[in-house]
Amino acid sequence: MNNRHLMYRVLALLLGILLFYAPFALLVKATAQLLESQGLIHVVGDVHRACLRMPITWAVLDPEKLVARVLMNPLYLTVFILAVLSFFLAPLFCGWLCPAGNIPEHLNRFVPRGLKLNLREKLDPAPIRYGFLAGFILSPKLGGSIACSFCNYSQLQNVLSAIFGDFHALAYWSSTAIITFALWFFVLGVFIDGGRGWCNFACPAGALQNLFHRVGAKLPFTFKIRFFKARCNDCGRCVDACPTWAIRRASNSISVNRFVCNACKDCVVACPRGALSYSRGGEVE
Amino acid sequence: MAAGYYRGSLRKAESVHFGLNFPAQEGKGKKVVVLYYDEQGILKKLLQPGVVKIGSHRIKNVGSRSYVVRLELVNVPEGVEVTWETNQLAWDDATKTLRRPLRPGERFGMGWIFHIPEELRGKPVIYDGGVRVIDAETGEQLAFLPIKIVNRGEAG
Repeated sequence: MNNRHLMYRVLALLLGILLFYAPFALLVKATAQLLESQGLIHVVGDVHRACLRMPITWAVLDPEKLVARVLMNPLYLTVFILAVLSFFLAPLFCGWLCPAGNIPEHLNRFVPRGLKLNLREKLDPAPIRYGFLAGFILSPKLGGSIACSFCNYSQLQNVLSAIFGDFHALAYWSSTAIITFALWFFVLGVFIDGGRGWCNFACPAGALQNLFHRVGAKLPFTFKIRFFKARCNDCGRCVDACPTWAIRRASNSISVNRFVCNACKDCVVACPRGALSYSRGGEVE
Repeated sequence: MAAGYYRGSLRKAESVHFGLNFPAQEGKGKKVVVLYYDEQGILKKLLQPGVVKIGSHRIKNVGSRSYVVRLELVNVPEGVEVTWETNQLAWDDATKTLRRPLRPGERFGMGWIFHIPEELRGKPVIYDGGVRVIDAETGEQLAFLPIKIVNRGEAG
């Protein structure tokens, strides 16, 4: 992969940590400081303050609760702001900023191909992803909420806190936390082809953003990964480069699955003939 | 759904959450919080059996005035280490006091991580105590919630 592109992606990932995760959590702390002056927020700034999971279930199952929580902490709107941005710009947050998705993906590059589970050609992640989203939303009514107990952001926050000296964050592990960490980081992370298995199958925030992207991509004025058919020589490099398995071969051509594409632009960089670009216009030219 | 049911099955075994209102209202809040230690999930039993968590996202002031609140965990057996865990900026861990006044209707969260030594893990009743909410300015008890950690198989 192009080193400059990779460097930009790693820098974006570090920016994501700085913005959302303690001990930095700059976005969270700046908002908290604004609100604290109004007596609203009195809690430590970490990734939980800008939760991307619970607000999705509240929005569907208990809109009044969502409104009440947002009035206390507007950062609960983050996931919906990201969804709207995805409509116009594609899910750039997932592809560039989200540390929970990017860290396993980048570490995955160091794992030998033979050790990785390869389902790229065998499985379309979209049905599983949206089945999970439906289950995630309905789970509080049908079994038990999985917003917090199976939260990979939470696990990453704990690990980052420990790395920066707060070992207390790793003091308690529940069974669900152990399962989440093992699946997110190892099985569906560094040991799956592309390193984005958790994102593909089990991230409700990513699924929501891609729903909006799927609709937005139909419109000519929105940004998206676009395919220029005449320039393609069917070499397949973009297919192999895509960490989310969004690009597939389709009879002397390729297709970009908007339900999983996170606009990381690895495919754009991998293509030697400029057949893919992140720009405004039609999906296929 | 399966993940939700699995999580639900462990609700009273690894990490129990409760709500606690203060000042205590007559006839209300008399329930006991119980954690069934021997019903932990297999992964927990294998990897970190001696550490359980009890906590509340909602220790709420239902009174008509503000309180500066101190918390006390009573009757912790010798050998059991308890880590206090909160996201409150104004929490003073040395005095176990929330330094800012909690206004009527306001709430805060607190968790207690119990590190249970091996010799106590098989007892029918591992912990029988509770959390006391105290007005830090007057010393008056505002509420008390009994908490137990038991082995259901032996305690019946």
